[in-house]
Order: sequence, then C-alpha cells, then structure tokens
Amino acid sequence: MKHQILAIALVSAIVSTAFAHGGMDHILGVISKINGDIVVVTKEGKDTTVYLRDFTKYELGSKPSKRVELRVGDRVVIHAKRNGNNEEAYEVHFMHPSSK
Amino acid sequence: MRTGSKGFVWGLLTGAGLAIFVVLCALTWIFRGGFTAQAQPGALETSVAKHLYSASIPSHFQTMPNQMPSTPDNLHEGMEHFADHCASCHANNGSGDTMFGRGLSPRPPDLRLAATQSKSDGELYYIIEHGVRLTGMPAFGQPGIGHDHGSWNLVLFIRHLPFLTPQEELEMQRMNPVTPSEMKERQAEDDFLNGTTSTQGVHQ
Repeated sequence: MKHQILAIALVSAIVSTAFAHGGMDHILGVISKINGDIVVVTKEGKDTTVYLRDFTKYELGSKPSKRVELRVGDRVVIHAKRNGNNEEAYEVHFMHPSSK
Repeated sequence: MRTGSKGFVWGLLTGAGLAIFVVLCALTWIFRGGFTAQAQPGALETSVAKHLYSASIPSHFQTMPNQMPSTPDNLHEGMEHFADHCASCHANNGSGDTMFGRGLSPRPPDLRLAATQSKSDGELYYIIEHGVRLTGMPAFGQPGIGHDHGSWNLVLFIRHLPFLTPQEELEMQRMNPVTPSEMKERQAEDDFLNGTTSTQGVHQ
C-alpha cells in the first residue's frame, strides 16, 4: 500500500511539474520590432525572435485581443514553443506602455 | 497415404504456418514500438474500436436526453468542471491540442466535430461516467451512484463547445488547475506586464 501511495505521489509530482510549463518557453521583454509574422522581443539588450502563427492567441491586459493591437514598445509575455530553430508563439500577453 | 488424411495433414501444416506467421508479425510489431503512444492507431483499428464501443453502450443510454435543464448556471458549472478536470487533455476549446492530448494514443477527439456532437446526450454521459478502456479517458463515475449532475452539466458544455467565444475560453484559462510554482510565475509575469517589476528575477 505504501509503495502504491509513493508511486502515485511520484507520478503526480512528475505530471504537475511538466504541466507547470506545458513544454513552453516563457519569453518576457519589450517589443523592439514587428515585421510581418516576426516579433523581436528585447530584454536587457538581448533580442529574441518569435514567429506569430495563425493559432497564436492574444491577450491585452486580461481581455482577448488581436495581432493588429501589438505595437513596438509593448511589454510582452510570450508562451512559445521551439519548432526547429524558430520560437513559435502560442500565447502573447501584452500591455501598451500607456496602459500602465 | 489416403487423399483424405493427406488433405488433413496439409490443412494442419497450413494452419500452423499461418499461426506462426501471425505470431511473428505480432512480435515484430511489439518490439518495433507497437505499444508506444507515439504511433496513432490505424483507420481500421479506430473504426472497429469506435463501433464496438458504441455497440457496448446500453440502449437506454443511447436515447437518453440530458437530465439537467440547459440553464446559464448549469452551463457555467459544466464549463468550470471541464476547465478543471478535462482541459488538460481535451483543451479548453475541446480541440485536444494540449501537451497531454498530443502525447496520447489514441489522441483525444476534437469534441467540436460531428463525430462527438452527433452522439446522443446519454452516450456522452456514459463515456464520461465509464471511460474508454485502453485510452487516456478515465471513468469519472462510481458504481452504485445514481445520475451525476456534474457529468450531465459537462454534456451541456460539450454541446456548447462549437460555439465557445474567445471571452469564455479566456475565462476558462483562469479556471485551469495551477500548481504553486505556476501561480508564482503567473504573478511575476502579471507584475512585469503591469510594469511593477523589471524582467530581472522573472523566470524566462
């Protein structure tokens, strides 16, 4: 019985750890460039390029939003997944500088 | 050897040869990763399994209407229940496109499509309560317990999935299970978005 409980606890711990990030990279920073499907996020001088896809979801503050709302200078938290050499955005949470 | 007994021996040998061939095929399939969840079941296996499962559902469930009225409160309860118990595999929008869903074999069906929506309320309820053996779908019902209102509300919500709005999907994200570390991370990200912290100290 003890072994069963231990096994269940172990599996639960592994599952919850994996779910915490859902296999996604969390990219934080400020948008420094938008070029078509490509967004460059800058954090402490380092640039990260992220690709926007048809399946990408957008959230401005706590409301659903659209890609056209993204602007250079916005603070962003992007949940992305690496596909080959590209980071593909699944969720883009952003805030305009004026909304602070 | 007489013709009759000769035919019998040939039949026996052919049968044995066929049996050995089938066993060898099965062993090859098994040792080439036949039991991993990375491969999806073939069309024939899927079709046979679905038909057998449908046939196994007792007839009174196949015609049973939802036992809960379709009210906004019941629908919302179904949504909360779905976000908390089902979305890890089925996704909030019912597409099945989640980390767990993508890793299952067979993959969870897209609940918005006709294959699911054409089932009766009773069939959907039966699947929720009894699960599907050899898949990732657990049984949520308990033997001896009568109708579970929560599962009937889930059926109401499954019917609503094809019409789910972005606002509702966003609301569901707030209802999804969150671990303490994820909660802390979300808070840090919200603080960053709101400009109350810099990126320093925030996990990336």
